Amino acid sequence: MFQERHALLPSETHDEAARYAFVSSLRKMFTVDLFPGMRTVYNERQRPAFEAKHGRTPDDVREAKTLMEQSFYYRGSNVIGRAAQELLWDTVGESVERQLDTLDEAAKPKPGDLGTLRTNPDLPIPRYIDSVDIHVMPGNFHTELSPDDTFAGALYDRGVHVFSFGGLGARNDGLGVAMAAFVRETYPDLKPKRILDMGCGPGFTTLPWKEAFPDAEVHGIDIGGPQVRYAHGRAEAMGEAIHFSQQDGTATDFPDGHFDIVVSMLVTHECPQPVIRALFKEANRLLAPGGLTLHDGGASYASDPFENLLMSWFGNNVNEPFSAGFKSLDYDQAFIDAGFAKDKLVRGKRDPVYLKGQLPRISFVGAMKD
Amino acid sequence: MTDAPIRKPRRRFARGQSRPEYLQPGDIDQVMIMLVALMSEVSALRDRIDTHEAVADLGGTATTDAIEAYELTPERHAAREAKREAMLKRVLRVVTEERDAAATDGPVKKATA
Repeated sequence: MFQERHALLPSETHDEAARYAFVSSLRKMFTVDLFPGMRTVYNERQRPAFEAKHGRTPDDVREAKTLMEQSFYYRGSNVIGRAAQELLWDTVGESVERQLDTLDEAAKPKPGDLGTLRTNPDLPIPRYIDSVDIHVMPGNFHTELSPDDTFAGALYDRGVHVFSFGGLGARNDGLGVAMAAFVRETYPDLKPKRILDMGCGPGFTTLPWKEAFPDAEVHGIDIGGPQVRYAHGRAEAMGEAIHFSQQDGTATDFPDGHFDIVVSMLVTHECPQPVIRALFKEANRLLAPGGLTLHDGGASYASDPFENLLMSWFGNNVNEPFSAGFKSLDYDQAFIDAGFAKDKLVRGKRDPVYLKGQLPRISFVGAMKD
Repeated sequence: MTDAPIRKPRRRFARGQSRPEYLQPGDIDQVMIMLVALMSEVSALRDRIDTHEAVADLGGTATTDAIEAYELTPERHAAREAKREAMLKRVLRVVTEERDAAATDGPVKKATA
């Protein structure tokens, strides 16, 4: 599937497009062929051998991992998966860097823009962001290459599409569309005046909220300046009025009770537990009575030790150091600690956007403010 | 008619110090990552040749501008995707053979002497 063209989307030369196509094919092979094949090797070879020797099945993820590491298939497949991840950012990065002057210029706020942009060059970047390049994306979401930089935003927007071989849709907006649809169906009486997307990245999780609730004022915040600059230019190019600002979601400058919906998508699994708790607390402060907060961490859960190993692939292979802590958090308690009432907790599910048919449905968690 | 001069074949190894050995077992992962990057280059080259053919099929000349301007058709895109998948399967056969054997033959039986 091709990514929808707009003025801010980086373009490719013939050979850049060919390299994108290769890395997409490689990612697809890893995802639909090599990755599920680990189950075949485990079920047909490694587990039976373990059972024959020990008279029981592996009983924790570490035992399953040690067992699988004896398999060349497992080792070889994992290094291919890792190589694909590194190749992805390097390939897309080369293409984005080549046209960065044009992108930076096109993203700048202009008279007549529908939405607004606020950046904050003095915003402190927390250590959990600055010390780890999430997804092994060099520079992570926040590194500034110049005062008007859009690099990391463009890299992520284009890179995610290649990574998921189009699985998030032509606008990369599958997650936002799914969550907004859930809200409309589950809470038909909710008429939000203002909506906030925390950790909005290039804005592909933010725009669907404006499309689902055209009368609402929609805001996206991100700690990365290049993300919100790119997101602003992208939203303008797509004709949507969104207000982007560079802020830390745990301490925003919005007034109390300012929003009716506060969401995050694919953010919490990259955050240490104290940051997740702080995001929920800030959501509670920002919500008006009757307002709703929802967080799609993008991770699945499994009770089987081997399935748990598979679910931990990103944590083990592509720099998601907080994803284990994300999974072990007591969410009910975290929302209660953040100020929400026990009988106002919300749970929803969506289909996985990639690894379809291989992963259980993805849960999102949230709460409604009294 | 003169006899061809008798010439010894050139020697293809160098005498003297043994070849330095730099790579260590832990370097294999990096080599594998280089190999995957090289596959990307081979794949891009193959696509470029395919674009030459596509431009020629349309009666054009494969100049640099014509190659950059060529718009990939969905049919050609699908055909390239199939070729890439086939190439990946061939190159990665040594990785996948263990899984394919496990799927077909089940657990490894102890060899009987």
